[in-house]
Order: sequence, then structure tokens, then C-alpha cells
Amino acid sequence: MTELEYARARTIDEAVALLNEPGVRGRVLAGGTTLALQLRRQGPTWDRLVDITHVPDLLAIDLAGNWLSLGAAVTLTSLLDHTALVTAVPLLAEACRVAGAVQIRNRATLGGTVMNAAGCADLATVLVCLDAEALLASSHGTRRVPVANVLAEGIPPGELLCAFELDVPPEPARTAYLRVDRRRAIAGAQVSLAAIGQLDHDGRVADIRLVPGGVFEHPRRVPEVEGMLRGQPATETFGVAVGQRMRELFADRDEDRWSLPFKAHVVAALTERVLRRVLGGVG
Amino acid sequence: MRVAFSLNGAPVAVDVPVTATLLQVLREHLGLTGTKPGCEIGECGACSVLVNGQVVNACLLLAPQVGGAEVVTVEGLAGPDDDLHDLQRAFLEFGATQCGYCVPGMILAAEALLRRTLSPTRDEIRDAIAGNLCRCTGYQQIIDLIEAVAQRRRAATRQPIVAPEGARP
Repeated sequence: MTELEYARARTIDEAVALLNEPGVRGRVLAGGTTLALQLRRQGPTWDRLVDITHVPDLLAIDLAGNWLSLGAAVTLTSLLDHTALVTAVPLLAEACRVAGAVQIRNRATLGGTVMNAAGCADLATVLVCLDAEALLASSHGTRRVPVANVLAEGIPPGELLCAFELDVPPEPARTAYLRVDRRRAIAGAQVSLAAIGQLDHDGRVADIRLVPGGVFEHPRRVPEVEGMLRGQPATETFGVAVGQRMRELFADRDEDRWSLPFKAHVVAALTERVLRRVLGGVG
Repeated sequence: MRVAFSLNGAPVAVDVPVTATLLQVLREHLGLTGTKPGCEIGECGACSVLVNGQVVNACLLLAPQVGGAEVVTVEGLAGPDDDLHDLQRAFLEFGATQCGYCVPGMILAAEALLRRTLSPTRDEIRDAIAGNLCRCTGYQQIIDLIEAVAQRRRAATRQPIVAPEGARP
């Protein structure tokens, strides 16, 4: 067995080349908070680690008007340190603050949270809610794919996740990210819910996006529930009804997990709370 | 693989496997045992060190990742005459140490916070040490001492107020 090799890429092109050398099984290394554990548990299953955290393009945060681009190697801490971004997209900051201890936030990258694709990953949940697209580079060029698809399908080996691009939710929209967990700094979310909502002049729901984390295999929007809300007047009671629908959606899943009844109840409660925050007095 | 970095202000270079963690390098290759192994899965914070001024878990960093970086361990905080660092003294003063195993990591987490701000709120202090488990003290004294050290450093850096020239007292 050849010894595992470490290579530090300086550009996106160099990283792609290092990942695609014939006969060499390359693996992207970003913050390493997950990869270091995999190495300890399973030993190396690759020939080369390609460290992408020194590629300037992958560290860029570009906020231009209503358009935002976040490099895949941006750490949760550098996102939180970007004041203009925290103001423009508080949903991202809200998820970063609860996504682990400062030791983890200093290393963990946005790209890593998506590529590790835990069903409960905070940043992945929020990026899906923001309808973010992933920018992928390979030796064949670049392509753009919704983050939700990357989470569901993964990306082929040799392809590099470079950035996330999204439209900043317009001014009147309100956002919320709530999560239920044990000790926040060291445990992942058990159940979480990201939401973006907006009412029109008549107090009807103009836009609503809901993404539960830790509920489905991967975070995804729930058109079944969003459809119930769109165009409806925000009344006192419909948060409860929507929470109930969310609970059914989840409980209908044909799975025998001990945590299901607990999670179904939590999902319903989180839905009510989140709707109250993004649609005003609802629920 | 040869990895060179700055450790507590001095250049070091080690030959280690790519899979070696910074924690292993510090303790087993460089003999600095102030950095403690605890859970070794990034949950307890006992192995906290500073890398380029940021607090990280040394158990989750592969040695090559710190190539060229500035690493500070608890051994690097004491003064030139082995004087205790102000955070170390405060741990003793506030009775914030019992078994002591979490203390080096706690000190580095606190130091990272105080390098960012000398006016942290208690919530910010709690957040700064949320990744460091202590099974003895109940955290109260640790939060108190960090607040006190912040206040002392503020006082020490406060510029004396000088009356503008020509002004009368």
C-alpha cells in the first residue's frame, strides 16, 4: 500500500488536476473536522488528500446587491465575521451560531457541511431554504446544480464544489432557523426547521419556504406544506394546522425508528413557532 | 512527510505520517504534554490550541494542515521567567480548577476570546467555552475569572487621560 499523500492546492484548476490524476484516488480536504474522524475510524481509503483551504477563490465572500456568492472553503467563523453578510442574510448567521463550538466553527467549511450531507446539517438545511445553487468544477468545465440535488445525489469523484450562489431574500421577507438538540456545542441538531416567509399587503402569504433538517434523509423543501400556505390569510390558527400536516408527512414515512414519534411531535411544534416568527401573529 | 510550522514563537519541523494529528505531533513528537487528549473526536475541547490565533481542536487537525501556521499551546503562554500567565493565575485565584484536565484547553479558548474582545458579555464567554467540557467545577468560576481577566486587561491597556495642552485642570 502506498502512503497517503498530502497536496496543497493554490488554485481551483490545480485542485481539479490533483483530484483527477489517473490512478490516484484523490479526496478533497477542507476543514477536516469530519475527515480526521473518518481517517481514525477507517484508515485512509484514498491515495491523496487535496487541501483546498489555501485557494483564494474558494475563500471569497462576494455580496453584490441581491446576489451572494460564498466560497466552498469559507469557514463558519469567517461567515459570522462578515458584518454586511450577517445583516443581509441573517438566516445563514443564525445557523452558523448554533452549528457547533467555536473550535469547530473555526475549521468547518460551508462546502464540508454540504458534502458530508448529514440529514441534520444546519448550514445545508439553510442553504436549501435559500434555494442556493452549487457551482461545481471538473476537468470538463463548470456546472451549476441546486444544493438540494447535491445533497440528494452527491457529486461524481473528481468534481470540486467551488461556491454557493443565491439571491438574498428581498427586504420584507422574514427568516428563522430553529433547532432542537442536546448540548448545542457538541451535538448535531435532532430536528431543525429553516423558513423564509413574506406576506402581501392584504396579510396573505406571498411567499413561504420551509426546510426541515433531521427529518427527511436530506434537507429538502416541503411543497406539500408550502402549498397549503401560499395565498392564505395569516390567521391565528393555521400554524397549528400546518404543523399537523408537517407531522403527518413525517410520520407517514415507512421507517421503524424509535425516535419517530418524538421527532414528529417536535416537527409540528417547530412549524408553529417558525411560522409565528416569519408570518407575524400566525399560530 | 516533513511539516514545518511555528510553535510558541519558534520554528519547528517534524517528519510524521500524513494521518498524524496535531495532537499526536505535539505530545508524541515534540514532547509538549500540556495539550491534553480527551475524547479525541472534537467534542471535549481538552486538546484546544491556537492556530493562527484561532482556537481549534488539535485532535481534528492533520499535521500537514498546520504547515506554515503559527501554533500556540499552553506552554507558549507563560512569561519568560516561567511566570504564570494571567489566565493561569486567575484559575488558581478563583478556585476554578479541581482535577485540572480541562484547564489548558479552557485557557486557550479563553485566550482566543480575549484576543478578539476585552469586553465580552457573559453570553459571549459561555459561547467561547461551550466546546470545552469540565466535569468538576460547574463552569461558574471559569466564567467569572474570564470576565475578571478581561476587566484587568482593559484596565491595563487604558490610556491615562492627558489634558489637552493649554487646558487648565
